[in-house]
Amino acid sequence: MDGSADQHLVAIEVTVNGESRQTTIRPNLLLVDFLRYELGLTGTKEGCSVGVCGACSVLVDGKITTSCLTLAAMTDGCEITTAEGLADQDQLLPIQQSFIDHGGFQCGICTSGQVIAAKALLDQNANPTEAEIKDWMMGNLCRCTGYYGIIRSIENAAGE
Amino acid sequence: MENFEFHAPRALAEVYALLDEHEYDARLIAGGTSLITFMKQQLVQPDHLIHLGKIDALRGVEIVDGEMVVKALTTYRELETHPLVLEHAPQIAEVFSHVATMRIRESATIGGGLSQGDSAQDGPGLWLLLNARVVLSSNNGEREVAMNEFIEDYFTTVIEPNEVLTEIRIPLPPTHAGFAYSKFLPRSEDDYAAVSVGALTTLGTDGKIASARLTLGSVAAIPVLVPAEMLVGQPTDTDLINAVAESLRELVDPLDDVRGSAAYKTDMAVVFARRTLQSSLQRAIR
Ligand SMILES: Cc1cc2nc3c(=O)[nH]c(=O)nc-3n(C[C@H](O)[C@H](O)[C@H](O)COP(=O)(O)OP(=O)(O)OC[C@H]3O[C@@H](n4cnc5c(N)ncnc54)[C@H](O)[C@@H]3O)c2cc1C
Repeated sequence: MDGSADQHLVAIEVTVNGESRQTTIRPNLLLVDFLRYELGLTGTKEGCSVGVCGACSVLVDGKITTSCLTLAAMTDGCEITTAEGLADQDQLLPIQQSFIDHGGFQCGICTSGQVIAAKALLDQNANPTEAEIKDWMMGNLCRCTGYYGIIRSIENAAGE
Repeated sequence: MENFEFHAPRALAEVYALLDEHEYDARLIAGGTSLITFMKQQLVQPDHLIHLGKIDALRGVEIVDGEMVVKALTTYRELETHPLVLEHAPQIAEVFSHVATMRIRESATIGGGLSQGDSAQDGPGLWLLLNARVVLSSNNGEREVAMNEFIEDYFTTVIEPNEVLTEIRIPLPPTHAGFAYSKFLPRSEDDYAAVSVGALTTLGTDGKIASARLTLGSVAAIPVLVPAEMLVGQPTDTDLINAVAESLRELVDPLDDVRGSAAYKTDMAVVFARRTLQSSLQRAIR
């Protein structure tokens, strides 16, 4: 690749956790890196880097999205929500409180992605069955295998 | 990942112009779920990346003259939930509700998936089963390609560098047809299938088999159509189902990989083909 390609930049305007941002980025910047390194929102983790593990899950216009397989430039004009944007100041969402109350995490590395995925589920289906929870959450791996706690957390937050 | 120039046009005409100008140096991107991985691995290094996400003309599902027209940017999640799909071709929703994970289904598009030309994906085998046609458009107009001619080899389709896959046209399966689709998933439920099989059958008023179509994915460079005409006129419990299933051994050429050896996959394809044909016949209505 010739040196001029390094000069390519693109202007984007996104709303991240309710705050509007206008910025200029390199087009090859992944959404996960934009969030972590440009905005300092390190709650979003990068795990497998190939879309399997779900650690990097964020909401883009309300939809659960793989931020390691999305270019930040593709989200121009979109509303992005990360784990940091769920709580209203210190007021946790019921789903966040439920993860604390029902042992929804162990080491914590997958937790941001789990909570984001659970939030997307409850937004679409306020009272999911256990089967629906398992089907939806299949894309968020927990290497501590804390799945029972995660399912319990979602069941207990449902309907709140 | 190398850097590139990023384009986000709002009209198809702009896409065609960019493709004409940059030809092999340009790539389209839809959901990005395949392409970003390829770019990270430097298997693909475009100088120009053309994002289709802002082109509203590439969104939507319609019924036109007894066919379902699905525009390229329709996501897998939309195929799973769209009211027109659920009403007219629930078979498609059934298949796509079991592709990858919810998170991937929310982003992956029918056009991006098919353009990948990967017979291990669920779409190609299904579109072949349903006898779909792919519409490719460029500054020179549009052409229609039958699904059995669309994928030529591993990750190779007939799409020219100046063309965009704009829609897929799917003849609606008859409402009395029996449909079944099954995947052999030795690793995890969200994995690519080691073998996938689709069957579409109809029965006559006499209860005999009136038509039968059988397709396979993941077991060759391209999706495979297994001739099943010998079943026509036979009762639903005919031994010829075994014969059709066994005949696929001559048609497949699977890869040895983490999902199993070629020999194992071939054996499993036979088993899955037999069962899938049987369950489609059970679901067919006279
Ligand atoms: C973890 C994971 C698991 C998966 N499991 C499965 C599975 O079990 N079964 C399955 O079927 N699939 C599976 N997939 C693959 C998924 O189907 C593809 O990633 C997806 O369909 C690609 O769609 P996209 O819109 O993201 O395409 P992109 O990644 O944006 O593009 C893919 C290719 O198509 C080209 N392209 C895109 N749109 C067009 C267009 N309109 N016209 C011409 N060319 C175009 C691009 O240039 C690129 O070459 C999985 C993916 C992941 C990440």
